[in-house]
Amino acid sequence: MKCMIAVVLCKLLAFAGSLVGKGTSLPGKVVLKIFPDILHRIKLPQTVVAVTGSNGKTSTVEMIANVMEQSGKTVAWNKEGSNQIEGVTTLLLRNCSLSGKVKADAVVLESDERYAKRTFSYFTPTHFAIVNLYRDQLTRNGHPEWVYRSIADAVSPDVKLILNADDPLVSLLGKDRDAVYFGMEENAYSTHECSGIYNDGKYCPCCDGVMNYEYYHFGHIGRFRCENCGYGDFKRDFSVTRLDLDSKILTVNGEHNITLAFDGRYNVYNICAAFAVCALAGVEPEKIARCLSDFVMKNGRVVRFEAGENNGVLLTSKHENSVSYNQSIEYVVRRKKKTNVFFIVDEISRKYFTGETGWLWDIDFESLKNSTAENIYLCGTYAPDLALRFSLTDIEPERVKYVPNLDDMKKYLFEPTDNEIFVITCFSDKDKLLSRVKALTPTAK
Amino acid sequence: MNKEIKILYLYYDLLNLYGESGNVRILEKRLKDNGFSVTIDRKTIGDEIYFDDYSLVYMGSGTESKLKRCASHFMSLKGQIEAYVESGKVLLATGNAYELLGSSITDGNGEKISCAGIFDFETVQDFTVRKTGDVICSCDFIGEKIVGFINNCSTITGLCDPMFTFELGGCGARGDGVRKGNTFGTHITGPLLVKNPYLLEYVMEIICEMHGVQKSQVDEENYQYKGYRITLTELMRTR
Repeated sequence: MKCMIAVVLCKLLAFAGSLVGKGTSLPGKVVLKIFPDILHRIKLPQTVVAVTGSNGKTSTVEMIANVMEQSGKTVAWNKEGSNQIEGVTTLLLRNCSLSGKVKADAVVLESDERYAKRTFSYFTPTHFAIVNLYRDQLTRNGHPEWVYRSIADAVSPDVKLILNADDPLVSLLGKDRDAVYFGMEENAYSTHECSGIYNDGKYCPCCDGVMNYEYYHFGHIGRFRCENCGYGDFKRDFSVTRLDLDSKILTVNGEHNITLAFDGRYNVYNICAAFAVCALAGVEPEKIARCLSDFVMKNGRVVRFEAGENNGVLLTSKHENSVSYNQSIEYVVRRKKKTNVFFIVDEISRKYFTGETGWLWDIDFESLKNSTAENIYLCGTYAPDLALRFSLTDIEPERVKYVPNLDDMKKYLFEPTDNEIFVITCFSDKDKLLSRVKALTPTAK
Repeated sequence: MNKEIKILYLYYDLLNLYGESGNVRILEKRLKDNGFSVTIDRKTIGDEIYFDDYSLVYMGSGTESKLKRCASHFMSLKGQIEAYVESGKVLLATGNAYELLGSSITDGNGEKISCAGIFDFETVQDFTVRKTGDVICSCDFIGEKIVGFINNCSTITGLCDPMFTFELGGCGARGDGVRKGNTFGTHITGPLLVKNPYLLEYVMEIICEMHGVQKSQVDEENYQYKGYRITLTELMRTR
C-alpha cells in the first residue's frame, strides 16, 4: 500500500512538474519526506548499474543505457543526470508499477560521488563503476581523499566493482576484494613525465611510498606501481589496447574496434568503462563495439556553433576542475591549424555561489605557449583572475586579449577569421556563449 | 647588482591542494619587479632543509593524511623553525598547514600528533564534517579587507587573539589565524596572496625593508587589484 501511494504521488508530482518545466528531484524529495525508506521497498530488476566519479559519469551512463537499449533491454536511467537520492527516487518510482516493481530490464544510475552512500544504504546495485577521482568542485567536495571515503562507505561487499586501474585512488577501492579493472595501454599520447602543475599520483595511497609510473596518460592517470609496497600494476580486464585519434579509432582488448565521434581523449576512459559494464551485464562484445561506434553524446559536452561566417566548437569543461580544463586545452594544443581560443569564467557554479578561483592556478595554461593558438580571449566576470594567471605564464602578452564583457566577446567571435574557434567554459557558463551564437545540435565531426 | 633572495616552498608536493603554487608564483613576480633575483627551493620530506638559507618560507594545504605526514616531519625541524621565527624572517602557512604551527593535531580517528608548538593552539579534526565557504576578514595591520575561502575539517581551540576577524562566513568561528612577528598562519586556503594584493604588498614591504630595498609602486588598476575588487563586490552581493 505504501508503495502504491508513493508511486502514484511521485508520478503525479512528476507530471505536474513537467507541465511547469520543473526539475526532476522534487517529486522524489516529497516522497522521501513521507516514506523515507521507500527505496528499500521497491522491487528492482536483475541488473542495477551505478556509475560515479568526478568526471564523465553522465556520458558513461548515457552510453551504457544506449547499448543496453539497442541490445533489446528496457532501461530506466537518469537522463537528466539528477544524481542525488531525490533524483534517483523520482526516476525509480516513475518507472514503477503500482505494486512497486520497476518495469525495466535494467536500471542505470548516475550517482553523485558524495551522496552514493545515502542512496545505496537502501538498495545495492549489482554493478558499481567508479571512473575517476580528480580535484573537482573542492569548494563543496573538500578533496579527492575525502570523496574517496564517502564512496568507500557506499560500496557493499556484494556489488561487482568496476574500477579504473589507472587511477591509484579509485583502484584502492578494490583492495582485498574482487573487482574488475579497466584502463588504457601506453600509446602515442602517453608521456613518461607527469605533465601539469601538480602530481596527485606521486605517493602511494596505501603506504605513502613513492610511486613509479611506467607512463602517464594525463594528470595522475597511468600505469603505476609503488616502490615500497608494490601497490599497482593491475591486470586490466578491459583495456584500450590501441588509440589513434587521427583515424578516430580505439580498440578494446586487442579485437573490438570502436570508432570515435570526436577526436578528443577525455571520453576514452568513459567508453572503456561503458564497454566493461555492458560486457559484464551480458551484452555481446561485438554488439557493444558497434553501438558505441560514432556514439554522439546528447549531453552537450561538445557543441558546434556558428558565429556569423565563422564555425566554432564549444568544449564544455568544468570550472573548479583542472583535469577537465587540461583535457580541453590539450585538444586545442593538438590542432595543426591556427586557432582562436576563448575562456569564459563568469559564474563559477550555477548551484551555489563562490568567488573561489584558486583552481585556475592548477590548470596547465602554460601548454598553450607552443600551440597554434594565435589569439586567446579571457572573458567574463573573472577575466581579471584569468588575465593575472596568464600574465604569469610565458605566453606572449600580444596573443592574450582581456575581454570581461560578454557582448564584446561576441564581436570577437563574429569577426571573420580563417582560424579555428574554440570556446572552453563550464556547463554553468555555456549558455552565455550559446545565447550569443547559433548552436548546432551536437553532431559528429 | 641584483639582491638575491631565496624562498622555501615547503612540502610543495604534499601541501598544494587548492592552487596554492600561485602564492609562490606571485611572490616571485613581485620580487623580480623589485629588482631581486629569486631562487625558489621546492623541498619535501626526505630533503635536507636549512631554514636559515631563506627569507621566506611558504606552506599550503593538503589532505588530512598528507598533513599528518608533514606534521611529524615538521616536528623534527622544530629547533630550526623556532630560530627562524625568532629571526623575524617571513613564514606563511595557508589552509591546514597553519595547524602545523600549533601544539597538536588530533585527527578524525582520535589520534593525537604533537606539532612544532610555535603557537599554543590545538587542532581537532572531524572526518565527518567539512567546513567550506567564502570569507571576508579584517585585520589590524591592513586597512583593506581580506577575501578568501575556507576548506577544512578542523576546530581550533586556545586561540586568544586571532589575526583575522571574520566579517562574512567563517563557519561559526569569530576569527582565524595567528601572527607572531613575521610568521603568519591562516585557515584561508589557496592563492591568498594572489587574491589579496594588499596583503601581498604588505608582505613585500617586510621583505624589502629586511633587505634595505625601497619597494616599487604598484598600479592599483592592474588585473590583480581588479580581480580583488570583483571578488569583494561579488561576496558582498551575496551577503
